[in-house]
Amino acid sequence: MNVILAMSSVLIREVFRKKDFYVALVIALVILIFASRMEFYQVSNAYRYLMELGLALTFFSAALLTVMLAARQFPKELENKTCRVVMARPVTRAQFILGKFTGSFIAGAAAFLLFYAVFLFFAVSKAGALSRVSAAETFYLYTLNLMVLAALASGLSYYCTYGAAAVLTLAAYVGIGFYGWALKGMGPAAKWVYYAMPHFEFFDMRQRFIHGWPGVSPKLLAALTLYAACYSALFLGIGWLKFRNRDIG
Amino acid sequence: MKRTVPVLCALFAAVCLLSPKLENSLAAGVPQNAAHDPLTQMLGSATEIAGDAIYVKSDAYFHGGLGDEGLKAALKEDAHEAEEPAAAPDDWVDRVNRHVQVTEHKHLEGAQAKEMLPLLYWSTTLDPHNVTAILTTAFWLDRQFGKVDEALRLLEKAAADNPGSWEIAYERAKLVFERKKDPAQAVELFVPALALMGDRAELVNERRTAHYFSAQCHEALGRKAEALRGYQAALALIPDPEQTPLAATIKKKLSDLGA
Repeated sequence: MNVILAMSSVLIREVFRKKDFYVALVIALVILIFASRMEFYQVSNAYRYLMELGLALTFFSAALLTVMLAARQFPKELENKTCRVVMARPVTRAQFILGKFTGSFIAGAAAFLLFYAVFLFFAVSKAGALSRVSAAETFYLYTLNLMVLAALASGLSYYCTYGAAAVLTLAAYVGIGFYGWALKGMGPAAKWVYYAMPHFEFFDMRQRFIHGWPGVSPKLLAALTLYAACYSALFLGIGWLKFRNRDIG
Repeated sequence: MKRTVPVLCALFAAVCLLSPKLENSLAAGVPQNAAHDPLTQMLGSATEIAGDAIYVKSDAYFHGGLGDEGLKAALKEDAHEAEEPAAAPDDWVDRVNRHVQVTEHKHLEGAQAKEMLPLLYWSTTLDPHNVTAILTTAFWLDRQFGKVDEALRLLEKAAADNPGSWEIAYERAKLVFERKKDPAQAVELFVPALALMGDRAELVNERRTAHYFSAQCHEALGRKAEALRGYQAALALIPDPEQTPLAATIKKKLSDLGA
């Protein structure tokens, strides 16, 4: 456990050392400042558009950072030839995979927390008050989404290059999110794929939050946590299948 | 190295000389407003697609975040609510989605309708030819928020962007007549509206209203002959004058005017 935490802490520092995080934060800040000052047809205090924009920016930035970070870890160690040094500590291969994943996930979640705090600041300034329960649930569910994304990118990175792992993960995320539902009506085989694929839409309750619908039940939150944990374990397991016998010299 | 600077200067001079000619040939056939709009310059006609998508989104805002497909399903359920229970989820994915996504239906009430305005603004800005979006925006501005001047400004710009749209010309004239109570301006605006409507049979109600309002404007301005012609034109567009209350009103006006 200590080994995993030690590896994770390095990654958490890495995300805040890189320029990517600050660039994304500055872009989000500029857009939110500009958007929050807008008034349409001299009618003030409309705020849902700002929530829509802010949440989209926050989710997109966090997903991008997490995927890039998770997909980069193993290929970077291979390229720098530091993999063997890390493994010599000694660190088992399973610990290596878990450490890289945990670090990427926590770093991504920490970045998301900061983005989300900035978004909430602007949204509350404009709206006055928002549902705390929905705000917390929206954050929690998307954190689970980041966990699955980090696991998918991390698992894929043991099979392909950094770029390929990142692109494949983002393509799967966007493709499933936008077109996954279409598989349901495309015959029995496609239906199996539909049930087997991770349903990222389960972790996105933005519209409930924006339009003031009640939050989801704690029971469902627990079920979705289990769902995300299972997929994360599956993707990491697939990564481990490749990595356990791989030559890292 | 010695030659590099003169070559670069020559290239720069050539580009400077060519650019006005290129600009003129590229701008040929493109409306001037569109050619200078930064968004159009960047995205081309993709702005119209974005505008239309945002308009659909504004409709979802009005229905509590429910998208087009969800809205159809919800309306179907609403219609059968009294007789049948809501349709059961298709499977476990659908069951989870019903808890996480918006699947119920509600309307923005009263001042909450302001939440649609940013989207309607962007929709009409990005696609200035989406007449439905323009009329919807003008409707909300006028009816819900009492922003008659804002609605008129929007319709004025829309009339310039869509000179062939009878709907925009007609709504603009009606707004000036009914809400601004300005018969002199309204009567000027009903002329192009009626011209754009022509003799189209499917627009008989709108043509009748336009003639009737136009006649009222003339009457208010003391133009008796024009008012008479307007009322007569409106009366001619009533298919069954004996059964229609408006026909009786027009006949009374005609008799008052001494026809």
